[in-house]
Amino acid sequence: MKMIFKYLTSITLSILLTGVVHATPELPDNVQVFTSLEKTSFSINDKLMVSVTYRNVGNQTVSLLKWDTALNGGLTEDLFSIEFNNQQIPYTGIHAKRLAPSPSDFVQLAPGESVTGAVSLQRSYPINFKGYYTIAMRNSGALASKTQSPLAFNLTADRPIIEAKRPARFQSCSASQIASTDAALTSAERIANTAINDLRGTPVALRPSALRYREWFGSYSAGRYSQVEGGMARIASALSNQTIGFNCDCTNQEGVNPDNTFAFVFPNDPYNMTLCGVFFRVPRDGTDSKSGTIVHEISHFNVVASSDDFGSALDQSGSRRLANSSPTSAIRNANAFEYFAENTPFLQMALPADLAVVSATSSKSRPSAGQPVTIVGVISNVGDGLASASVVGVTLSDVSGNVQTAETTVSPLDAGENFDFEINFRAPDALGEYTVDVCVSEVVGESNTNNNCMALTAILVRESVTITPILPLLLDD
Amino acid sequence: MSNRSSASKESLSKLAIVSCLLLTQFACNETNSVRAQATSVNAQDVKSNSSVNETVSNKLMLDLAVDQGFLDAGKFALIATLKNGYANEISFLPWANPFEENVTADFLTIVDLKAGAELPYRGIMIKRMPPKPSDYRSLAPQKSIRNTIDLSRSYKFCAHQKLKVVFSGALYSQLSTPYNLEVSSLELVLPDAFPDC
Repeated sequence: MKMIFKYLTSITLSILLTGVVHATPELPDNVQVFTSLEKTSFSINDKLMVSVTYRNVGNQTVSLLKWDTALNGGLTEDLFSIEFNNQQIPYTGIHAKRLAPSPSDFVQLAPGESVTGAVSLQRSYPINFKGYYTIAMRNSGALASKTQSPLAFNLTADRPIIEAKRPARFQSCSASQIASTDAALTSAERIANTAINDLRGTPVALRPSALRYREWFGSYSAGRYSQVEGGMARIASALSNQTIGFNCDCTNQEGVNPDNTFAFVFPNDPYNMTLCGVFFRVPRDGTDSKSGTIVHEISHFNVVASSDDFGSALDQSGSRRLANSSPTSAIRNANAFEYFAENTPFLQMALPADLAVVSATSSKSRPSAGQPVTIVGVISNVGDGLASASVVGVTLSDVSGNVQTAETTVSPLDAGENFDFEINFRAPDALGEYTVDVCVSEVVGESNTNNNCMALTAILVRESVTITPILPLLLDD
Repeated sequence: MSNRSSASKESLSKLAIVSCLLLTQFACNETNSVRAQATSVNAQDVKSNSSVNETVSNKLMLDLAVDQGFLDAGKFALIATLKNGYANEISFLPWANPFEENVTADFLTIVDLKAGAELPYRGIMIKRMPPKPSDYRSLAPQKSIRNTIDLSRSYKFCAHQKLKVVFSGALYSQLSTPYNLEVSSLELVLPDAFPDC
C-alpha cells in the first residue's frame, strides 16, 4: 500500500514523520527518508508496522526503484538498525535475487513529492521480548549526515516462543547421524530459548541472587548479566532463524583428535560446525549432551557470542571454578553458555522469598474514637531467597465503607529472618465495628502471597467519654 | 619479463624448500610432543639454558620468538620456550597454548600496532573431553621446553604489518594453585613475503 503526497508542509512532517531523516545508499540523490511508527507501545497482538516516506527534496523528478525499500509491500533487505538492551537485533528476513527491473518497479517523484510505504518488522526481525527497542534506518547515503534520532517503542509482553528451526544442512553424515543431530538441534533450540527467557524473565532485583547465573557466570554485575543475556539471545536467534551446517567428517582437521572431541568450529564461519566422535556417543540432552554441544559451538561464532574455550573449564567443575575465580572470563566461556542452557542438575534462576505475617495483636479491642491504638507483630521471610524491602500495613474497614490505613516499612529480610513491627494509629472517628487486616506487601519474585495477610479480631470503636471536671463545680458552690 | 619469471621461480623454489623445512620442524615437534607426554621431558625436547644450580625463581617463564627463516618465506612460525623456574618438576596441559602441535584455540593477542587493532582469530575452537593424566606434560626444574607452531592459518597476516604478539592464554596444571607465569611479548614487522592486503 502506498500513498503519494503532492505536498507536505513542515507541520505535517513534524506530526506524521517523527524524526529520522536520511537516505539509503541505493536511493537517488535528493531523496530523503523519514520513518515513523503508529504508536510507541505494542502488545504481542499488534502488528509492528513502520512507515517509511521517501521525499524528493531536489529540483528535478527522480525515478525511485522500489526494490529493497519499504515501498515493495514487505522487507527484502536489512533496512533497519534495531537495538534491544544495546544489542543489535539480527535481520532474519529474505534477501531477493531478481531479474532486471521493469518500469513498474519504479515510482516517479516530482520535486517536493513524497511516497510512503509501510512494512511489518516482526516478519524480518525477532522482536520477541518485552522491553524497549530503538529503530533507525540504516544510513550511509548522501543525505545521511542530516540530524537523526532513533525512534523508540515498547513491546509490552514476551511473545511465545515458536520453535521453528530451519532445516539443517548435512555433509558426510549417515542417516542415523542426521536423525540424531536433527533431534539434538530441535532440543538445542528449545533449551536456548528457555535459557534466554529465564535470563530475561528474572526480575532485576533478584538477578544478584540468581543461583543458576552465579553457578556458571559468577558474581552478578549488571554489565556482565547484560552481556550474557545478549549472547544467549543471539544463540537462540541463530538456532531458530539460521540454517545450521553440520559436517560429520572430523578426520581431516589438523590438531583434532576425533576420539576426545565433541565438535569444532571456525568462529568466523557461521553457522557451520564439524561433529566428532564424542558427539555421537553422548545423549541428546543433559550435561555435555548433543544439544548442549550445539549451543556451545554456536556461541563461538563471532557474530553470536564470540565465546572461548578455557582449558581450565572443560567440564562442569572447571567451569564452576572459573565462575568463582574470574567472572569476566566466565561470561566468555562457551561451556558456561552450554551448562546454563542444559541446566543439569536443575537450578533455579533465583530463590524466591516468601513473606508472611506470623503474628499481630492490637493493644485495644474497644478503643474510643480517636484513641491511640498500637498493633505489634512479626513479619517473617519463610522463603529461600532474599526479600527486598516491603511495607506492612493495617487496614480498618466497617460495613459503611469507612476505611482507615496505617503502615510502616519492613527492612530487607534474608531467608528465615524475622522483623518485629509496630504500627501506631488513632481509632477512627466513626463509631462501630471494624475488621482489622494486617498485610505485608508482595516482594518481587515472591513464591506465595497467600500468607501475606492476617485478619485480627474486629475492634469496636466506642464514643469517646468526656470526663467532666467535678472539683471546680464543687468549689463554685 | 624474463627476469621476473626467473625471480618468481626462485621464490617458489625457496618457498618450497622452506615449506618442507617447516613441515619437517612441525613433524619433529610432533614426535617430541608424543614422547614428552609419556614421561618427563627428555633431552631432545629440552633446550637447557641454565644449570640446575641456578637460583629458583618460583615461576614459569614463557618466551615468544619467531623463526626468521620462515618469516622471510611468508610463514609465521611462533617459537615458544617455557622454562621451569620452580624447584620441583611441574606438569601442564599443552592445550590451548603454543605447546600443542596445531593452534586449537584463541590464546594469543596479536595487535597490528599501525592500525591499532587486534587481528581476529580465524582458527578452530574445539570442545574436548576433559584431559586425562596422560594429556599433561611435565617439565623438570630449571629445564626448558620449546615448540614451534604455525600461526599462518589462524590469522590473516599482511605484508608490512607491525605486530605485537602477547600470550593471553594459560598453562593449566592438575594443581588447584595456578603457576606464576612470566610472559615475554614479541614485536615484529612482517616482510614482503606476506601478501599485500
